Amino acid sequence: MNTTWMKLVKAYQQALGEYLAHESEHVLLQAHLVGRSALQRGWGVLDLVHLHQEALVRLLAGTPSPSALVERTAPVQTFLLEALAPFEAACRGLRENSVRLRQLNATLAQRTDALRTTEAQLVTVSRERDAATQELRTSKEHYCHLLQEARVMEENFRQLSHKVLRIQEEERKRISRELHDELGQTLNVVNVSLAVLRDHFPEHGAIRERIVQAQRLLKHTMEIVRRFARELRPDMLDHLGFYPALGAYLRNFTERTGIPACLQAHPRRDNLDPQEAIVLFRVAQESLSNVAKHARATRVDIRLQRHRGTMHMEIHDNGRSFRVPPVLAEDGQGRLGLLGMEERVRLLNGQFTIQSAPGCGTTVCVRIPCRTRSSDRPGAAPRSRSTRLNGAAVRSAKPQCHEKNHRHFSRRPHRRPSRAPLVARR
Amino acid sequence: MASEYKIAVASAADIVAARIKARHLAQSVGFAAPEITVITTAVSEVAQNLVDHAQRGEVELQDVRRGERRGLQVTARDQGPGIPDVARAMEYGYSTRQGLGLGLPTAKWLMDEFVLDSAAGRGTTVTMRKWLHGPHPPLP
Repeated sequence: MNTTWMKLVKAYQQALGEYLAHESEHVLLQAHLVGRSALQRGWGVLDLVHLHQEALVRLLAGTPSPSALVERTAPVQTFLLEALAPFEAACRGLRENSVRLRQLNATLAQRTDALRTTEAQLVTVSRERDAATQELRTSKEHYCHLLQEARVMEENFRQLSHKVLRIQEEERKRISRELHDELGQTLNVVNVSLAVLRDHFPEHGAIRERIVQAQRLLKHTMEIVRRFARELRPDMLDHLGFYPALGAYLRNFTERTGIPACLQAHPRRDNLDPQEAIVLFRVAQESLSNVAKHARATRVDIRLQRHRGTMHMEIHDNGRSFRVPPVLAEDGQGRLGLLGMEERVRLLNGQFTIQSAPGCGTTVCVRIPCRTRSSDRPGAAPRSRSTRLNGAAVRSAKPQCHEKNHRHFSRRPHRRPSRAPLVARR
Repeated sequence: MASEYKIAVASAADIVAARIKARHLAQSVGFAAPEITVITTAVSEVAQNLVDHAQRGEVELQDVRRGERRGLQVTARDQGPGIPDVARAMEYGYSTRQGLGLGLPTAKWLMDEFVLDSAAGRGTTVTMRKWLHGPHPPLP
């Protein structure tokens, strides 16, 4: 610092001396550069004035008289001003920048305030969002819980329905057996007694005639009882299986109603699960009963087909159509019949559909996933000619049926929790 | 008395010549000693800037009037490479060469008015004014 200082004092003194001697502009530029350099090195105005004073004292030490001293005052000032000019510029710049800085600071303060407000709002929003998230989570848990409960209840309901239907079937079977075995036998005995009685009065024509009349009436009653027993529970279903039982039922239906009923089945024999068999049989029974009661049909076709583990049954009549939703909505037997069919199918995770359209008759469709494998080798028996022809006829008729007044009732297979036991399996 | 000077500037000697003319004109306009020093210092800075960046150019000095007021206008022109970023060039301490980065800001702060017109490839023109008895209010 000291050597630098002394060097600078010397340079300044030399330049000042030169200027006092010649007052040349060139030397003034030197003064300017010294000032600039001092500013650059971080010196202050006071440092420069001190430098100037030291140089001036050294220079003036050899001055002969005070008058000579006074003469030199003006150029000394010019020189000093020149050296100080860079400091002046820096000072003004500083002042200007200070003002700008103050303005910037004010702006910054405003921005900071705005930012703080925004931050506060953000915190509020964030809190609200957290609360909403929490609420949503709670609500979701609540709904999960409700859903779980609903599933359990549905499952319970399903089990209950199943039980009711099973008990119903058992009860029907029992009543059917009672009717057949007890009432049938008793009526038989009565009939035999009447015959004995009739033969006991060979000469009393009036009495014999009465007894024959009673026997006719009795025979009719026995016929009704037998049919009623069959309706309740065809024993063929239990003893011979689904297809023979259905065939027998259709023959009986045709005999009774005069409506031809045509069965096309592939395969012809099937080891259906008893549950599936009874559902299919009951749907067929209920559908045919509806046809006999309401349809005024001249023909019924029943098609049965197993395809990729699904049993497909279609019952089509060519009779009067009906509007499906009103029938389903109305009270009474009709509605209960349809709902009963649908419920039975649904319990086996199946699909139940009714299509009815003017001029196209009515088609009841059932699809049930099979739990047993087909007893026939798959693809061993080709489809019968009649099945194919009929299938084509049905298919070509369908687009018309779909046009209007056509309601498709299909329920998705009942979803069951995977770990819950299969209710139908008893 | 001449009220206008044009000085070709390409060296330190030319800068001194510009200072001499500026001092002379400032005295004739009526500026006091500190303001004369301020004007010569500003002329030194713009002239030095011109030599450093464009090698050569010219400095024009004019006695100007605006209404009742008298002043001195310094115009430094060159056909050099121009200044691509004018705003940065006006930052104190900013320098593209090994310079001090004091030149143009110093001139601006010392004078009352300062206009820098430049773009890359178009040369540079600095116009600045100093008014007698304080800065003149800017034109609308």
